[in-house]
Amino acid sequence: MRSLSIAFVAAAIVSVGIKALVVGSDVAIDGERLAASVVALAEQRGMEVRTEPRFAGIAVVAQKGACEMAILPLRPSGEMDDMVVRDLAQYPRIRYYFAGSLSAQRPNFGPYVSFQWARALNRIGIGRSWSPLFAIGDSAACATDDAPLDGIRAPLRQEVLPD
Amino acid sequence: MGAAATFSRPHLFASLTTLLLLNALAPMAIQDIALRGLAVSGLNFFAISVVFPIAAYAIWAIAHNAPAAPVRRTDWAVGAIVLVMAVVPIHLAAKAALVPLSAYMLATAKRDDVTFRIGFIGAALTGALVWGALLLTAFAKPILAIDAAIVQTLTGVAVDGNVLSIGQRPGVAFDKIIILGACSSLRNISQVIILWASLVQLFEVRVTARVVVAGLLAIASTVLVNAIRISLIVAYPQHLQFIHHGIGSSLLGLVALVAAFAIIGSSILRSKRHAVA
Repeated sequence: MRSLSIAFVAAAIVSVGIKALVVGSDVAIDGERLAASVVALAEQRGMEVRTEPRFAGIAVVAQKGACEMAILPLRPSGEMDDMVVRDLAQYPRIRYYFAGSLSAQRPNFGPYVSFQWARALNRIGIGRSWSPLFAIGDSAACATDDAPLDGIRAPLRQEVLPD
Repeated sequence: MGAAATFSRPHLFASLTTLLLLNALAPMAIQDIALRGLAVSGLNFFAISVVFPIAAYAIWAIAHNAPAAPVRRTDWAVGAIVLVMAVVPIHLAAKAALVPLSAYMLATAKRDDVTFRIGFIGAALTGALVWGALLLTAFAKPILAIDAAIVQTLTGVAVDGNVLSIGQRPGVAFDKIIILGACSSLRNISQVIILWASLVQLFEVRVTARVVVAGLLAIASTVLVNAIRISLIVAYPQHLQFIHHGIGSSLLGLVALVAAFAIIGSSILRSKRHAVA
C-alpha cells in the first residue's frame, strides 16, 4: 500500500509538473491574422475588400462587380453560430467553408477535431496549422462556384494560429 | 509479500482515477494561477468546481474502507496505459483516458463491489470532462437556445437562438448578450451529476427511483439558478462584471451548489433511514 501511495504521488508530481511546463504553449484563434489572410486572398482575386468589426468577429467584406460576400470566422465549438448568422442576415445565402470545401450545412466535428488536434500537437512542441471554419454570406449575383471563393480555399487551410 | 497482498484493486483504481482527474484539471488551475496570482486564484479555488474535490474525496474514502482485493493482470496493463495518458502533456489525453478506465472498472466489477462504485464516480466525471464538451460541439445551438428560452420566459427578453437582445440601455455599451458554452446549464448539470454520483456512492445508497428523482430535482434547481443568473445580467447589464465574473457570480454558484447538495443530501438521508428501518 505504502509503495503504491509513493508511486501515485510521484506520478502526480511528474505529470502535473510536465503540464505546468507546457501550459503556456497553447494556441488560440487569432481573428486579426485570419482576417488579414482573407483580405490578402480576396485582393489577389481582384476584389475590393474592407473589414468590418462585428459582434461575432472581424468580417471581411469583398466585392467584385455585383457579387458581394462577407466572410466571418466561426468558433469550432459552435456557440457563436447564431450571432454569425445574425451578422450575415443581409445576405440571401450563407455557406460554410472548411478544409477546402464549401457546404450549405455547418460541419461540426471536423473543425473541432482539427482545432483540438492542432492544440495537442502545439503543446508537445510541434508547430501545426489547423483548418479554420468560415461562414460566408454572399449576394445573389455571386455564382455557387464563384472564382473568388475558389481562391480562398487552399491557403486558408494553412493558417497558423499562434496564441 | 506478493504484489496481490501489497496492492489492493480499489486502491489502484482510486489512484489511477485521481491521477487522471488531477491531470485533467491541472492546466486550468495552472492557467488561473498564472492569470490571477496564487492568492487570488486560491480564493477562487483555482477556477475548479468544488464538486471535483468532493468526487476525489468520495473515491478515496470508498477505497480506504474497502476490503483488500487482489489486482488482476489486466489491471496492471490498464494502469500502465493510464499512467502514459496522464504523463502526456495534453490534458485532453487525461480526460479521454477516464472514459475507458471507468468503463473497465464498471465492466470488471460486480455492482456492490468497491471498484464498481469508484467506476461509477469516474463515469460521472466523464460527463463534465468529456461528454459535455462533445455535446456542446455537436449540439451547441439547441442546448444554448434552451438556456436562452428559459431566460426569455423569466424576463421577456427578445431571443434569437442563443442571442439575447436587451436593447440600448443608458450606460451600457452593448445591446446583445450571447450565451456561450461556459455559461450553459449543461456545464452545471454535469457538475450536479458528479455531486450526485459521489454522494450516492460515498454513502452506499441504492439507486432507487426516489434517489434518481432527487438527482433530477437537483439538476432542475441548478438550471433555474443559472437562468436567474443570466436573467439578472439581462435586467442589470450595467452590473455584468459583478454578476458574471465577480462576487455575485460566486454567490449564485454557491446557492446552486447548496441547493443541489440539500436536495441530494435529504434524499440520501431518507434512503438511509428507510434502509435502517
